[in-house]
Formats: sequence, structure tokens, C-alpha cells
Amino acid sequence: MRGKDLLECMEYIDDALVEEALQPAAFPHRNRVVAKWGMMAACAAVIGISATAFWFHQNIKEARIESQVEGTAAAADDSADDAKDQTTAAGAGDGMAGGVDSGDSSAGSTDSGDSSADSTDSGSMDTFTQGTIEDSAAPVEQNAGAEAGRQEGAIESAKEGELTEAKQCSYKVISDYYGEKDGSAYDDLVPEQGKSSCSQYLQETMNYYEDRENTDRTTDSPIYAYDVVVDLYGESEGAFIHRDSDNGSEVIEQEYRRLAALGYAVRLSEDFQLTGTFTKVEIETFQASPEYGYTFRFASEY
Amino acid sequence: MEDNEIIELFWQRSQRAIAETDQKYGGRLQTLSMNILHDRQDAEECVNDTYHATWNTLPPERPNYFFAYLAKLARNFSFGKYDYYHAQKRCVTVVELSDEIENCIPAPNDLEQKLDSKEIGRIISTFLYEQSSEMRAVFVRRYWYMDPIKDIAEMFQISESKVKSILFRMRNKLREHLEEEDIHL
Repeated sequence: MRGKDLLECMEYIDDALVEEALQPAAFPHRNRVVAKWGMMAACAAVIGISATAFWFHQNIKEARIESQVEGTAAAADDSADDAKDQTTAAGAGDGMAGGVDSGDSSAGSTDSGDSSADSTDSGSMDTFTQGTIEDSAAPVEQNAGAEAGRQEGAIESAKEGELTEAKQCSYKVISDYYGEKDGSAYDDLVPEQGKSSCSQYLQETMNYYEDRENTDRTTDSPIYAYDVVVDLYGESEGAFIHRDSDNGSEVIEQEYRRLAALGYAVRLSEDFQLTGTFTKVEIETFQASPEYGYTFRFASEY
Repeated sequence: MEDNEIIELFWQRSQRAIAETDQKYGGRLQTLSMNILHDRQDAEECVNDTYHATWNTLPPERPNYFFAYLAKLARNFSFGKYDYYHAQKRCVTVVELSDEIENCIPAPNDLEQKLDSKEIGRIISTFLYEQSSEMRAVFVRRYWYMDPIKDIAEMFQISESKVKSILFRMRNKLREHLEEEDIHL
């Protein structure tokens, strides 16, 4: 039997089957309402995940900036603590000296002039104690009082310093030149490998705000940070690493990862522009890679 | 007009019977014949032959499925005309469909059981009743009504590739069914 014969045999199938196929029902499709709600749920899920990812990213970014600010504040605290320790140590030294003095004086007072027996320490001390013990007793006490006052003053100033530093935790980001640009084009030097430099406008701005910070030290002046673009320069002098150059984007991304690992608040845009938020101290003590030179500038420049 | 009323007109030997039949099913019969012959004039002749045969057979016949009865006649006349006109040069559609459905024929063996066309039709009907209504409707539309794939896809609101896929699976199932029944065509 051939295919055509079988095709003709189809003539003998049940009439009911032929009638059924005369006006067939369309294939059942998935419930449109369910499909609609499913699509809406999927969209909501995508939006939710995106929002969570964005929020998470923002939190990381804020945490990084906060840790940077805290690091700066901690450094300031440490310096204040050091200053306090030094003051305390100096006060303690004075106290010790005073103790010796007072000891001498007490010895003097108890021994009532038989101070030669006590004079075993230093000649200068001996010289200081001999014959002047009665006369010097009052000044020594005065000196001791003055030293104590000085200590208290130092501690208070240290505390004030702490308070000031604590107040200074507010963080202000500068992203452009502080004044109006005069239109003059500065020819910024290309940095050598392993070194960094700032554009003229950025340098002037940092100096301006540093002066302002120093002036406003007693008030609630913020810590100034600068939103800058970081340009990279390669092996040969003046070889600006552009994202479109050979391996340029890879180099910039690699450098971005290194700086981020070092704790710098750096960002990498989709078009591979390396930017970041740096304090003046961070810019001045920037940990440059020996392979590249770095230029910091405002994004509005060039 | 309902099928029973038309059949009643045939039984009353009323000339209106053919007019009512043509009004209700003429287009579909024409399409069916056109699917086989691809010639409007030949298709019209086949449809007229169908009406004539119906006039001659009603009474004594009183079919339960009137359209199926008419369509079978039209299909039979169309294949007859096809054979007459295309003895040497075969129609593309019939060749295509013959090749397709030939896949359902199991390999012959020594114990080949020869069956008549009516018995084969009954076996195919049994097979089709085991399938889902949508699947068997697609199969019947393709191999009984001889509709193009595109038309079937539009009719069932599915893609052409899905129609092809359904037909492929149905042919394979029919072959397995015939093999299980130990029937060789």
C-alpha cells in the first residue's frame, strides 16, 4: 500500500470525527489573567531585586565613605591622644620632679636642715635643694600648682580637641573649583611613574578649603573631600592611558580594583573613567603604583 | 436550516434541498475539493456530482452526520477526478500528503495481513479516539480535509511549527498503533 492509498482510506473514518473537525475549538491557551498576573509578579520581582541591589550598593558605598571619615577622625584622635599622652607624660615627669622636689622639701622639713644625708641623687638637684629649701618651698608648691593647672588645661584642651574632632565628622564633598575660573589654561605637568600630582585648580581649591578649615577650627567645620577624576599615565613619559587605547580599559579596571582594595573611595564608570572621593591627606599621601603616574583633577576640567 | 430539515427536504424530493445544502455547505465542499484538485472548475463539477449523488441516495439513506456524508462523497469524486486527470502528472498536494502519511505504514513482512479500506478506516478511527480532541482534529483537518498547514495553524490559533510537530507525533503514534495491532497495509 502506498501513501496515497492510505490517504484515500481516511475516507472511511467515523463521520463523527469528520464532523468534530468541521468546526474545531482552538487549542486551550494558558489563562490570560494568570499569565498577566505572572508577568506583573515577574516585573515586581525584577524591580525588587534591582532596588535591593542598588540599596546594597549604596550602603557599601556609604559604609566605605564612613569608614574613611572614621579613619581620618581616628587618625586625628590618635594625634590628639598622642598629644594628651605627651602632655600627661610631661606632667607626670614634672610631677615626678615635683615629687622629688616635694620629697626633698618634705625630707627637708622633717630632717629640718639635715639635708646632706639625702643628697645622694644629682648634683644639680643637690644644688637646688641645698640652702634654699626653706626659701624655695613656697615657689616649689606654686610651681607644682602651676604644673597641675597646666596639666588640667592640657587635658581640657585635649578633651576640647576630641569634641572638636567629633564635631568635625560631618563630611563635605567638593566637586569643582571653589571660585570662578579665570579661563587660563594651566599646563599641568605629567607625573612620573609611581608619583601623583594635582591639577592647578584642584590644588588651589584644596588650599582654599584647608585655610578655611584652619580658620573655622573652633566652629563645626566639616571635613573636606574632593570628587576627582584620576587620570593614569603609563610607562613612557606622558603616555596617557585612555580607555580606548590598547588594554587601556583593562589597566584602568585593574587599577580601580587595587585602589578599592586599598580602601580608597574610587568608582569606575561604564565608560572606564576612574573617579573617586579623596581628602587632601589622601591625595597627598596617595599610594601610587610604581607602574603608573596619576593626575587628580576635577571632572569639569578639560 | 438544520441538517435534519435539509435531509427531510431530500426525502420529500424538494428542489430546495439542493439549494439549502449548497447555501450551508457549498463553500466547505468547494474548499475540500479545491484542496485535492487545485482547479476551481473541476472542484465545482465535483460539488455538483456530490449533490447529484446525494439526491440519488437520500432516500433511502438518512445520515446521522450530514456534512460528513456530503464531504465523503465530494472527497471521493475529487480523488476520482484527480486520478482521471493526473494519471501521468500528479498533483503536488496529493504527492506531499501521500509522502507524509506513508510514514504511518509499517514495514511489510511475510505474514502481511491485507485489509480492505473500510477496515483500515475503522482502525484509524479507533486510534484517533484514543487521542485528545485537539490532536485528532488537527490530524483529520490535515489528512481528511487536506488543509494546508498554514490554514490549520490559523484555525487552531497555534504556530505552524506546532502543527507540524503534532502531525509528526501523530503519524509515529499511528504507525506504532498499527504495529501493535500486527496490521500491515
